[in-house]
Amino acid sequence: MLQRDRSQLERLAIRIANFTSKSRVNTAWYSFVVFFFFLLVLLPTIFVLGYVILEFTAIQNSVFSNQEIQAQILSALFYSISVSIIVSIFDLIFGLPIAWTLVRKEFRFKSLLNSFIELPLAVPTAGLGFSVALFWGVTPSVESPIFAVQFIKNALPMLILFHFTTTFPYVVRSLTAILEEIDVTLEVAARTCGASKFTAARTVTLPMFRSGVATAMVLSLAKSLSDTGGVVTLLATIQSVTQTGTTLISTWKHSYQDQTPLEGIPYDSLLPSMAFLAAIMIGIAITLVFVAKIIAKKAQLPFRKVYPSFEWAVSEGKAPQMRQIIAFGFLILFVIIPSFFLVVYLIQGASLAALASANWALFGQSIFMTVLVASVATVVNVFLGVPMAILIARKSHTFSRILDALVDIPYVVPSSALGFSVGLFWAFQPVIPVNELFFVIMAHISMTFPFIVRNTVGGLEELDTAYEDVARTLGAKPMQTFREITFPVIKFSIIAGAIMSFTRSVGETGATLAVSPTSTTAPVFIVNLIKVDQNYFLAALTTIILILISSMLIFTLRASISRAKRK
Amino acid sequence: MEKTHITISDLSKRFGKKEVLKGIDLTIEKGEYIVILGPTGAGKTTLLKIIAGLIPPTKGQIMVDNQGTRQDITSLPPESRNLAYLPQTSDYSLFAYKNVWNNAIFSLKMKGEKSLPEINAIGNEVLDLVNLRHRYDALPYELSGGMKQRVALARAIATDASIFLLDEPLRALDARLRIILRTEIKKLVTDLDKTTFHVTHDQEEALAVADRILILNEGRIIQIGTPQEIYQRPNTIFSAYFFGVTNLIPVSLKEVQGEKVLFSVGKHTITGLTTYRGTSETPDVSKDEYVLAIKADGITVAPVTETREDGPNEFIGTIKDMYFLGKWVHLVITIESFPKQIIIAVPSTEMKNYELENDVTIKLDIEDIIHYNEPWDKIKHLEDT
Repeated sequence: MLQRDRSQLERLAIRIANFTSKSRVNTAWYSFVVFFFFLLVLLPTIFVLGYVILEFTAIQNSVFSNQEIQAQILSALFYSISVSIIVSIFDLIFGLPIAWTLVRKEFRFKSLLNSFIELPLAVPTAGLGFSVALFWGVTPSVESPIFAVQFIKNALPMLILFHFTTTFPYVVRSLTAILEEIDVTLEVAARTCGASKFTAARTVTLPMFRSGVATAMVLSLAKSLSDTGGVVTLLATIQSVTQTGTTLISTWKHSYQDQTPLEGIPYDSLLPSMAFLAAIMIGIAITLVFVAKIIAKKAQLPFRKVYPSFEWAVSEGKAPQMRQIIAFGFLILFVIIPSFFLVVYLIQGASLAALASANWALFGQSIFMTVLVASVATVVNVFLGVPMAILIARKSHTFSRILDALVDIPYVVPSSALGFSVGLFWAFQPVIPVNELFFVIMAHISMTFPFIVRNTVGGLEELDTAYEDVARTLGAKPMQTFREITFPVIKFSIIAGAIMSFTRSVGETGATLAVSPTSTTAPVFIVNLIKVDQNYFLAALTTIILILISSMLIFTLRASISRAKRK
Repeated sequence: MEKTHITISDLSKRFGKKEVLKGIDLTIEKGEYIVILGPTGAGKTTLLKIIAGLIPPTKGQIMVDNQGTRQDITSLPPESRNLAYLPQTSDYSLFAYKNVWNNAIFSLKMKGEKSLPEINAIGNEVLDLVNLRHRYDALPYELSGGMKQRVALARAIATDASIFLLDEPLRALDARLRIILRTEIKKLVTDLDKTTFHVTHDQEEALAVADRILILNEGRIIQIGTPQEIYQRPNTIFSAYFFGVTNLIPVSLKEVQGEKVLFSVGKHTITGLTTYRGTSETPDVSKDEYVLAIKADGITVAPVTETREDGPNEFIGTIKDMYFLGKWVHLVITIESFPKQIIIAVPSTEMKNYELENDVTIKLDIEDIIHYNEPWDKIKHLEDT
């Protein structure tokens, strides 16, 4: 019970608490956070929209008068949009039964499967594209490893398979998270009234699940529209010249930076064309979010009618088991194996010659740069994202509801459009001198900001405000209340957000390429190895190193959270 | 006592379009134990939070008298108000990551005004008060519900606050513990001369511990008074209906005869006093619709004997149902041409005297006839719940 004497440090802490709790200091801090969000996160992200309006004549002159540019944009958008729609439908069809099984059923290997499903999240998409292409695709320039299916030549099915692999874990995770919150007793009640399991699930739980389904759809659509690095390595591995919206931006940006003209496109037209394409993609993404929000609120599910005999049939006997087996077979074949297929390649191709010929200096440099960019972006986002989360979760103004909606925008904007826009913004402003590394970091900050905010908001919503209220009435200043009461509870959410932000940043290609094609972060290094140098072995090795870095973080997160839960 | 401590004037609160509190005026004496009673959504918690400074009022003022000086605390932040608030949470708002000791001295540590030996002395003292000094090292989840509530109280006492705000302090405890702990809390805060607000929706709890009860409904103060006043002289049907089992009977005014007032119900007449139990309101003869409120335990009942005549306020009824409730038995009785059945509480020791479908004589005490000039349509929703 004896306490050590209050040290100077504690006195200082009280003085700091008094200072920060002065309403003027408080207001100043929150104003800064909001200012930061608008000026350094949101505005750069959508800057290109304004740019398009300002420079509309230039766009008219270059895009609308050039058939080649129009054709390329249309083709790229066709691929991006059709792929994302098809993929999100598949995600939902296979995601629902798997999420359902993971939440509602008890079976052997459940926890194993739970962590399995998250594994692909740790693979940087640049490596994932290569891995998926190796498994499914006919690869003219790469010696195919054993067990490879070697079957697909065309870009469209390849893109669909690849995006399914990348988005499926996200969809299942967001579906399980929401499914866990739905009370199972309602379904039980429906079943005691004579509904079959299937009918009860479809008519009782699924309608409550609507917003969860909409969220998962948005996630899937946004991610499929967004990926760059994976698409580049995927298409390069099967030697396809097809472009999606995101790869077209990075190709054009590359040519713009290097001043190497492309066939049929005048150099002067590059910047307006990129801006036009980026603006369209951002427009599509933002529209998507709002449409999904409306769907989540308003839409009715089809098939109100009940078909008892059919639905009983699929609820009983072997049918549910078959459903599960099919769903999990699908998961393993289409998600897990393709994600890690490059390990097979790495083991088969390992040789001293391959190791000796690698550019180890660039390898080390790219890993270092990746970790540096990800760390700086994550630290900045923690300091500014946590107060932002408090503004959203704890203040009940209309303003915080607006912030709540705006925070998600960088989350859904395709990352290469985001990178392009951020680059445009920082080149446009006259205050801060141009610096490539700074550009890259700013792009990664914008891109990962929502991760910290969303996770922290989630944590804050779990903590009853009554505890903070009590601390205040017991004489704690707002800052003391945060340190003593709020922080110990939300710190795991902050850590989770930080790790998600870090891994996202580590794996990001599109934003980096679009903001500065010459900055070699590890994913960009992988893309170059596959596309330019055709050094597939080193590409696979770099991917594995990145996987190790990310999975170590994810492992730490899981460990620290389960330790906290035990407490 | 007898010294004003808190003065609340014209306090109102709106959330958007919803008016949660409407013109609350209240004067509280030093050391008073006020129980705020009302149904869910009456505005009880909002009132407490406004006093605590956790939400600002839309209108109105809160003044606190402190050693002769009167201070307006309406716009002070909660940490400067010198009061202790125990909100409604599942675990009595103890900080889950801190042990009993650190919970108890939280306030002293935050304020940083006391020296370490002083803090230790106070910590020991408050934990002694609630008999939990031996559990100083326990984490909240290791304690029982009653212990948690005692720690929360100790933590509040350590603040040296002069005002205690307790939001449903006894919920989620079993019935026996509620009774023990409510007396314990009352004794503790009264001995320390704290002015206390205790929110509850349990009428029995309110009657047992309050110095004064404040009945709140839809954001308005319905009545404020001692438990006896509120129970025996409810000023509205709402207050009357809130305590015990109350029969509400729609009647029409027949005539006023001096001190007496006659109501007709079916073919019967019920006689009451124009001024019941000290209220000075005389019935408005121009209005016709009245509602009588008669407590189930205020009706005399006896098996019908042949020698008995049908006197004033005496009726013959038939027992249609009987509910055994331990100490009491509720008889449900139908009286010919009465619009409703009447519930009468009799001690269960007398249960042997009654049987289903037997006739009984019912006698109403003239002083127990409480009447309100209200149309039945506005009242009957009370019985729907």
